[in-house]
Amino acid sequence: MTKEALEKAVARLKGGDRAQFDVIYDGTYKVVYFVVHSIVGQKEATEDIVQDAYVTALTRLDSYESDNFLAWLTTIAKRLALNSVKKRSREVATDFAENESAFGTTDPTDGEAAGLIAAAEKLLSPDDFEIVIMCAVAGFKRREVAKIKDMPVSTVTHRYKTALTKLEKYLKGGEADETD
Amino acid sequence: MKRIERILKKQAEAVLPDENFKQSVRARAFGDERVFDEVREPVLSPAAAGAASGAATDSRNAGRRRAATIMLVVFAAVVIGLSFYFVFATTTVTASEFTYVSLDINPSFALSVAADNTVAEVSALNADAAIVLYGMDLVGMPVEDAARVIVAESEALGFIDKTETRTLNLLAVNDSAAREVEVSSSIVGGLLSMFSANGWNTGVYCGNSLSSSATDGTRYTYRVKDYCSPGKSVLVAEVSEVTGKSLAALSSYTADQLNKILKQYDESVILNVENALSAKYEDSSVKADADKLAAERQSFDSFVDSLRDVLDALDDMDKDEFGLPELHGLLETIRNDYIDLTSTVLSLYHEIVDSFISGDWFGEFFEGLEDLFDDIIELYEEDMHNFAESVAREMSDWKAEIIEELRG
Repeated sequence: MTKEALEKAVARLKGGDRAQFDVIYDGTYKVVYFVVHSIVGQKEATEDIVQDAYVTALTRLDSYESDNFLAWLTTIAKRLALNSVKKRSREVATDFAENESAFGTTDPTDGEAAGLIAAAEKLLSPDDFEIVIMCAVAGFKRREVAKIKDMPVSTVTHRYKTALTKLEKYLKGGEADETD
Repeated sequence: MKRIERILKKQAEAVLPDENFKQSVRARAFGDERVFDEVREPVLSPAAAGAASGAATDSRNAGRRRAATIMLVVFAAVVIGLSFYFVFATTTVTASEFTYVSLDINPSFALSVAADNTVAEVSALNADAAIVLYGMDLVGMPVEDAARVIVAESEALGFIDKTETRTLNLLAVNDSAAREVEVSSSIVGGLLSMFSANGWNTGVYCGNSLSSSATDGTRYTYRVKDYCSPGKSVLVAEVSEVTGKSLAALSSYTADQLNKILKQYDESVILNVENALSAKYEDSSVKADADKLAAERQSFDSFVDSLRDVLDALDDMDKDEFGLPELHGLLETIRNDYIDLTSTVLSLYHEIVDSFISGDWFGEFFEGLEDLFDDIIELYEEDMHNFAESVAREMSDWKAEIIEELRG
């Protein structure tokens, strides 16, 4: 989905066309899901926050006036995810080893976000991870990502390629370990 | 690079939430209680059975008096459980994979709609419908678009007078009442917006709206027989009225069978019309243009594929190993009779490379090329669309002549 198509769907939804929700959700949920997952770590908690993010965004849709819905939505999702992590860290003991599930996993072989996705969450900066998810998973073109992230296209291209190179090295390392 | 992208995509798809999750987000966002995939009908609650058996096991080691008390409690629990079963308990019923849609303009059509709302099959139920559908390929198209195409073609062939106040009939049939309403609402919405945008005095009568009070969470409020869906109930009642057959007997028929009885479907009539059309079509000028359009579509697909291949190849190259000879090599792989790309791409290359003193000229060139290819594809698509429209108009004129001949 293009950024323009997404903005059109948002405008129609604001005008009362509820069927546009599906268009908006389908075009955004992959990015929102992984952005939240990279912060909270657990699948169930991620799904709860993703739900909250969409509900919050739709409730406040009247106040949305910019032309960058995905950036607006991911900002809401990130804020909810960070609040959730803070809340949990207050509620449970802060010994990571004893409460790993509450803080998310850092093991790249974790079943919830297996292998390379988990490695990307761990190895890449939040911005680079977002770029990778937008390009490789959600299918946005780099120039779309550049508009959404408000970066030059060449920067997005460079960061995307560098991120993939890091992941390729990680993968080769893993494969080399397996053959040893 | 492509390998990494493929792995990321595959792993992401494996952990991303499914369609039900979207439905629950939508339900929370809009306060919509409808859940399309899982609907409920009566059965004994397994939890009650489990609780009863657990209680019985525990009672084995108790004293007689205590055992008697427990047995009394168990008996009471069973009675309550059974009462619950008869009054409230439910089980899951899934929507059937395909939804049968009857669209009646006077030409009568039947569409089979897949779970993703695309047309899986379309068939004519009378001779006029066979003429309307001739030469059309609606399979795979979103059902609301397909319904609009059918109605527009019916109007072009004179089966609908858009200035006349009249209604078209529509009915959707699925095991799930909610799915029936979902499919019929989507088609009705699409048709009404088309009528409104073009100033037609046409309306849509949707049989499913008769039973809009029926939901999947309860026994259907209107039913011919228990668990016969509301949409199918409409067909059963109509056929019963025409044929005098009992409702119970008719409820075992499929929606397609019921609709064919209603429309007095005669396969030989449809086949005769289709054969007559095919014979005339072979010698017509419209066939030549339709063939040309088909060839053009193939050429377009091949062109688009080759542009993607160029971008993929470029994506896998490093800046240091790329130059004019590599660019010429890539351009030679483009399968294209539509436009001369070489000079445009070369000027883009020089424009970007010559203006970059430092920085990522390769990334900039890649994005420039992607933009250029997108623009060319859009232009080509627009030309194809115009050509397809002119062929469709020619086809409609030809069909109108055939209708005159058949009537004459």
